[in-house]
Amino acid sequence: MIKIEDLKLFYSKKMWKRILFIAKKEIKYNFRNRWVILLSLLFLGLSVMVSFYGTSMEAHKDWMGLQNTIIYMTTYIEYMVPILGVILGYSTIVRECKDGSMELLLSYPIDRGEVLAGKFLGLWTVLSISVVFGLGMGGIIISLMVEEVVLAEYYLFILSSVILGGVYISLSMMFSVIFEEESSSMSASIFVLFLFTFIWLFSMYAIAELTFGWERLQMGRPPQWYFMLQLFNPVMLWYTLLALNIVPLREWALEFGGKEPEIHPYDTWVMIVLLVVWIAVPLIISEKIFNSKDID
Amino acid sequence: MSIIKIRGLEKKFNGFKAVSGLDLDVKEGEIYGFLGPNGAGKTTTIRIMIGLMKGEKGTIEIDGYDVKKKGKKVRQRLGYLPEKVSFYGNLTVSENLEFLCEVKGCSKSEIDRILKDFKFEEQRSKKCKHLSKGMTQRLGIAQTLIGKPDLLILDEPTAGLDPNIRRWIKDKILSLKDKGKTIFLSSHVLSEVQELCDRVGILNEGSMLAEDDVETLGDKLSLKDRLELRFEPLDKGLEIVNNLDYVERARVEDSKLVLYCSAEKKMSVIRKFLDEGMEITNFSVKEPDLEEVFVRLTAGDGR
Repeated sequence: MIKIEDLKLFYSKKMWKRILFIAKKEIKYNFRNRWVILLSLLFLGLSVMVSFYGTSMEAHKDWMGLQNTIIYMTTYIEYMVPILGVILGYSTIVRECKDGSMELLLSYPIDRGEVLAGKFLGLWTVLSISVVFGLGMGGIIISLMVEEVVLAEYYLFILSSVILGGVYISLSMMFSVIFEEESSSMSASIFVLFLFTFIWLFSMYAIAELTFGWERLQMGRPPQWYFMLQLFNPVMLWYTLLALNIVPLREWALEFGGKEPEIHPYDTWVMIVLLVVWIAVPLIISEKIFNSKDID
Repeated sequence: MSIIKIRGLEKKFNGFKAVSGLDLDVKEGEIYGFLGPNGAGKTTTIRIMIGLMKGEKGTIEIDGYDVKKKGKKVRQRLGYLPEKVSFYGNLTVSENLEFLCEVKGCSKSEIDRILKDFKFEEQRSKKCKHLSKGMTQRLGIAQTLIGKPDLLILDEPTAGLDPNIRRWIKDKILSLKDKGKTIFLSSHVLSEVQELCDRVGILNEGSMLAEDDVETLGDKLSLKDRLELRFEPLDKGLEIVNNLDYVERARVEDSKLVLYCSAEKKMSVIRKFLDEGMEITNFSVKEPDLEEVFVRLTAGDGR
């Protein structure tokens, strides 16, 4: 049961100030990390290169336009944004607990939940700036080179990528709270990264083969529970969110994935809400664990 | 009035009692020495006081506030130097202090005062990862003063530092006491505690063995003077003192004989040596100190 005092605390100005101070410190700290800057530049370079050269398979040698760039970029972003999220989040708590700076910080009048919220906010801002700068600058360059520009879809692509990054920051922060060693936290984060990309894909194929059959999957008519199962993967949520809203991607997905299913539970807002749930749940778990943990 | 009041504190790690039924009182304005061998439970007690760990039983009140219920209020009122102090390496000295100042809700003008007071003006733009151990420790003490707290909790403030910095820190602690601060000082450097503290509490295996000022503790335990004698041959001297029932803990240390006996018996010891034809080349007498108290309490009488 929620008490009035809890609500007061939630709206406490001081609490939000402290969260923002932690976030500010994280932003300052991480922008001095060369890896973060390097990845931002990589996003920029990649979007421009992909637009001009296409994929290596097609050996495209002309500017493709933003819509087609999105199609090819999804393959890269699917890995790169989660990698950036993991880089930012996996050590954020465990490292500070190990080196003693967390002990010092928690001797100040601040709650552990505020530390986590501030860190998440700061790291997410770093990731957002990095993705928005990289992809945004790329988008501007491509827009100047091509005639047909549909910016709304590109904005959605950037925004959804930022949300996906938030999921991986939240997940890797959770491992950073759970584990006592940076290497364990990194391993768990990388495992989850692979789980939701390679392992998931092959597991879903295997499930399809063993249950309703491969042919039905190729026809694009798996049972509804199969669609429901996909909702447990944030990368699939992100991809579906894009496919639901970016026309060429939807067409491309249908071309390679079979006919459009007649019955499925997918909807833009459901996808967004579920992605937010993917951010919130690991953060809530982190808060519970962190609060019960002895700092030594 | 007690600024720190601990009653019946208990803490276990995997069944091992790190702190066992600890009672402790620290009075306002004093320097309280928290002594104990490694693993005695000093740092664990401090961490529970700060709210970094949870005690299983007992209560802790700091400045009248229950640490469990009003942790934030308690931490607003104290400054803490961890045993292994660490700052954000990629941030500069002043950025670190500014951040901590913001978290405590203090005016940033305090930073200039602290930087000046601790002679950090030249290093204010230096990243913390480039500071030496001594400088980091100095900065660690500096940050305890953010928000002008009345209570400072210092965990092994001079451990691993060179003598000059140790002296500087000790002087700083004394000057802070003069400014009316209460200081809770955890250490296993006995001479330092003896030099600085008004009262000491001696902890062993999680329990308080004794708590008082050094002199009273010495009286209570009827401690002996320490005699150091230099002569030849040492083996024969050791044999002589072993037969004297008023001599305690005789041992050979750095080519001299070290023994303990009551103040009125020390001349008898020397006379006995001369009677036995020993030629004493040097001798010194040391009155009971904290080391004596510590050894007596933590390791029995050690005969």
